[in-house]
Amino acid sequence: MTNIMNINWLQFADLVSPLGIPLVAGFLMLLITPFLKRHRRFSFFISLASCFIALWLGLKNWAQAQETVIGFLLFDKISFFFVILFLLAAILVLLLAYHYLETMGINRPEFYALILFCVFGMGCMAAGSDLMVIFLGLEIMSVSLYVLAGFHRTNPFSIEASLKYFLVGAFASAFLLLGIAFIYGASGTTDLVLLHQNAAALATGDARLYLMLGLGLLGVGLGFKVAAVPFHFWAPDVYEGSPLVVTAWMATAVKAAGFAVILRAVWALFQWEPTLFNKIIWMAAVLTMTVGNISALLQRNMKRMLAYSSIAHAGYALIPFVAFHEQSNSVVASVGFYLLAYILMTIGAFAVLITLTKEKEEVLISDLSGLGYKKPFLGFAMTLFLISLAGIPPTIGFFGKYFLFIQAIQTGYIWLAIIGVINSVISVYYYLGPVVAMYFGGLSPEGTVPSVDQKGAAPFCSPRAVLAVIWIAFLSVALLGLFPSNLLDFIQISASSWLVALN
Amino acid sequence: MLDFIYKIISPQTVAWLIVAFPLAGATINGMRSLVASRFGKETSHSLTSFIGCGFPILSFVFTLVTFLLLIGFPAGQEPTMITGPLFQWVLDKTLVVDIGLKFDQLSLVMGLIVTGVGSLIHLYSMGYMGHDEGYTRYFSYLNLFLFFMLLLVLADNLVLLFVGWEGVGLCSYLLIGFWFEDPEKAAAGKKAFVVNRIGDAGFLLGIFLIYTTLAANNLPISEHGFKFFNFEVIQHYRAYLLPYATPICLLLFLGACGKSAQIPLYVWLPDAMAGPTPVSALIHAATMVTAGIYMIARLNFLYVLSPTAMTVVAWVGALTAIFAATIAVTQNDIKKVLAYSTISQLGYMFLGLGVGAFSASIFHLMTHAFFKALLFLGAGSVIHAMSGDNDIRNYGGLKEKMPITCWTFVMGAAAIAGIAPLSGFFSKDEILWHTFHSGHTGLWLIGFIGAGLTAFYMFRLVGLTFFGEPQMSSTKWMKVHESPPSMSSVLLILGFLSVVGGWIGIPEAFGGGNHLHHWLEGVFGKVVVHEEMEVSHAPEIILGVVSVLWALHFAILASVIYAQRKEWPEKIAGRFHFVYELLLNKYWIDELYDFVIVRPLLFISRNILWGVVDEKWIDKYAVMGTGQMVLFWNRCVTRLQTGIVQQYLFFFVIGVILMVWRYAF
Repeated sequence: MTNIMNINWLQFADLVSPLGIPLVAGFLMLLITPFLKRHRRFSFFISLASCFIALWLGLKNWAQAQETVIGFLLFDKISFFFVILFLLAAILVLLLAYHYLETMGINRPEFYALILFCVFGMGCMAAGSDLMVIFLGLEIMSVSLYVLAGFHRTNPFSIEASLKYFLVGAFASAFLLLGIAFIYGASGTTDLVLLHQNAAALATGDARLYLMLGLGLLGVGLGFKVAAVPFHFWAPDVYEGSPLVVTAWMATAVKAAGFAVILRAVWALFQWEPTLFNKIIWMAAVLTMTVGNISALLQRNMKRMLAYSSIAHAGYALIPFVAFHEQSNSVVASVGFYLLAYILMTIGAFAVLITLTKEKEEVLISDLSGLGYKKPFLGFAMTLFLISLAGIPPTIGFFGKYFLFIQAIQTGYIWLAIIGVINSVISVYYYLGPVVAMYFGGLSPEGTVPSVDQKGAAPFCSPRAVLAVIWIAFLSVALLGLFPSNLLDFIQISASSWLVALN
Repeated sequence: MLDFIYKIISPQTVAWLIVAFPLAGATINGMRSLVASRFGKETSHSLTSFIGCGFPILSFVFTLVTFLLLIGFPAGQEPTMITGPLFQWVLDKTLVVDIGLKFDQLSLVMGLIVTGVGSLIHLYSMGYMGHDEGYTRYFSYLNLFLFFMLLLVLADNLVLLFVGWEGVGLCSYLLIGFWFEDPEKAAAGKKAFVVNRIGDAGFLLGIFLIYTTLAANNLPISEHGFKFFNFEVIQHYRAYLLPYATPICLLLFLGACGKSAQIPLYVWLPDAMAGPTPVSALIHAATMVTAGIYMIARLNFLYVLSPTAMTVVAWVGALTAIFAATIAVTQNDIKKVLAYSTISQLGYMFLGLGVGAFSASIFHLMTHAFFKALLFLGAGSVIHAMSGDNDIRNYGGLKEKMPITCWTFVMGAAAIAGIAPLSGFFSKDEILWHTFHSGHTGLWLIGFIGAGLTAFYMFRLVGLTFFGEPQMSSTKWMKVHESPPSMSSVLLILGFLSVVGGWIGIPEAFGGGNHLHHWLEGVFGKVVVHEEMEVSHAPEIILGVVSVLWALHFAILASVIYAQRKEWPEKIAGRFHFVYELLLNKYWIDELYDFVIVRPLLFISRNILWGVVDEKWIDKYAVMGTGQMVLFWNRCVTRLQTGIVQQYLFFFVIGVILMVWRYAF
């Protein structure tokens, strides 16, 4: 254990700044805003600014990152990659939030602070080199999320979502902690690097049983975080009840944080028994994507549909883990790429939904009808996001899935890839439903297009911040779908430096 | 800073502007057209013309600059240039495509033709399309076409060439069906697209075969870097393609047949005349249809590996040449005559390629671009004056009303007929001479007869249109007028080019320098097939004189008959009734295709594939069955989603037990 006096605090402050700045900004915000008149604007801008600064620092640190471990935090390129990812998602969600919260009448500074705390917790999860730090990060994130889910206090569904999430989440956390305890008991350490290096020695003898027990329980806790089947039941209810921006946040960044931890855990712990692990992953991936896709088929509520879709996407993202033992490098890269793709297209879709909400929480597919004519750009962008979610080229979603499935194929799990592809085909059905509504719905019986200029009854409002998010997502989904190689290189560099240095 | 600018302004980067300009024009005009139609406003014609014509002209200027730059290279240095890759398209580490342009002798000639003739036709369109509602849309399509065509001829790899290839096909489709309100015209566009698709399938297979053959040969990676589509790489490793040269070349030739309207895929071109006439001039005569010839000339190093493929190319070309010429003799639609004449001339070019006279083919391609564009634009001028009437039987005596159109048209007709010293004579004669000289007497004879027919049908057209008595009502006669200067000046320029364009390739036998031939040697090699060519010029001169007389006599015959003795052809048609009907109905090829291919296909797809296989099996069991099954599972899964937390936790615990059990025991 590092002596607290031996830490190079300057270096630590420099490295931890991408995480620390949002945290500090969150605290400051809570302290100052009660004394300000225009506290909503203030907190919005402060949170955004802190995220941008942190993003810049994160990129800078990414470029210089060595594999340094200071105070239980592991600062390497992949940590910073994930931090960048979280900050990116945070920026997009914050841009969406202001307008949305105004419309709902719940625009309060606490929201922004909680998002920032969330980012800090996620950063700890991604960068933690010790199971305890990871657990702490996870709890910081989760507690913020419980509050965020119930942020719409006057809406009973929001309260219900919050409570459900809390109950199930506490349940899962208990298992996670129990798992960590077992692992500690068996090996005497919670340090990931040590666990990784002593894998062979620990996997024999009497300790083995406890260790395995610990692994199983740890797997349960992590599976809950990414809503893998059968720990997924909370997800649709919570996603549906929470305010839309919170759902966007939970479906994207929170899921990415879960996968960041899974990557670390798989690397450090789960490679002791690769065949057993692969069997379990196989089952989990197939169940998760199939259940997610099949449940989404008949959803009329866009939010609930996207919730199930996010379950299915977690299933896709689990696929490459079967190849982790053989080609960990490209597996990490493919998961990273997919998470980025998923964040962009999902936030884009949520952004379009936000332009449609008016004081009412739920958006039905029928609400989208005629959008392609009334707002051509919004309709086109939504179509692109949905096509990308379905994995049709030339979008980023296609390449994301391609890189995932190719891992399974290269290591001989052909059937897993085939099931994945079949699932993608099933998913096309419900992704195209809204597209059909947008372009073929809302027509008069003669099939003529409704006239464009209904100024008085325009039900759509698209403020600049939301439009900006849509544009950002739209351009990245389209352009990165055409030219994925640079981005892939970026992620591959992140992945290989970590795995090469510490293996 | 200056250093940076200097780095940017290198010939390699500026060369990209050649393709970028038309794209910019297409984008700007396309956006304007879209915005205008959305808000129901009119676009400004003058701005559209400025953008639509300005960018192609700029592109032409830059091509010219590049050309001058490259011929300015010191002696002994090849006038070629390759722009660095704009970017690299990598999907996989074993498939790399550098997106780059290649400027060499061949692509420069093509580039100059495309941008030069293209710019002229853009200018002409200002007058011709002036009253059309879709003016902006028209220019946007035309610029887009120019962009893709330049991409096609300047590409330095097969993939980029294919992008251009498909792009020009798309623009052709859009422009044939430009007046899409008319179902017949829309159908013509569709036909062109579908027939081209058949050829493209062959072309794609050919490209794939090249790739797989090269990739299978374990070549040193450091040398080729997996850029198997790059022309230079293919040329360097062509020896490895030898075992598959014949299938590769034939598959590529199928693509060329589709794009360049050769037997059996020529049927779309006559129908393509449904588009606006300047489009027919630019796309369906001067440039796009020559893409197949360009492609084979570009891959000449592959074709010389396969004598079989060369023979096929030559025979298909010769047969098409005479076949289309016979049809042209009886057609009554001015544009149809010109369309069949285009098919026939393209046949000559393929004949030249097939006997190894690559540079002669490119020479004919160039002169053909001049005089065929001229003829089409002249025809457009006539149609414009006759307010949309295409039937030559209703013309007559237009010489007095439209002298510029008339005399430039006669120039063009004389050039295509091969009357010395106009451009068509030198180029066509070079092809025929190479054919004769390389020992293909049968092919030569076909080509020779075809040349006579060419002179005949062209002067039939001239005689019926411009000479003789007017065949229209007097009120209509009063309305006929010469075209505005924006159109007639273009005719004059093209007329000038049709006359002198051939002089850069006068063979040594006639005392010329044969400059084009020497210029293209860098691409096609110094001596193509035969070495004893320089020994004696006598046979070449004799053949040349014979073919001039041959063409001249048909030209005079036709113009006299159709201007003054109109009853003769009717009598002949009466006597040889069957032959006349056969030719008039274009050998019933369209009907044959309809009967042999289209109808059985429709029958099978409607009654068997759709009626039985699809409806009864696939729909009923596979599609509906899958749907039912998925819905069943959907019900099962959603049944579990009760909303009661206790139940969720129950399933959770089951999951935990399963997980721990699997892991620990």
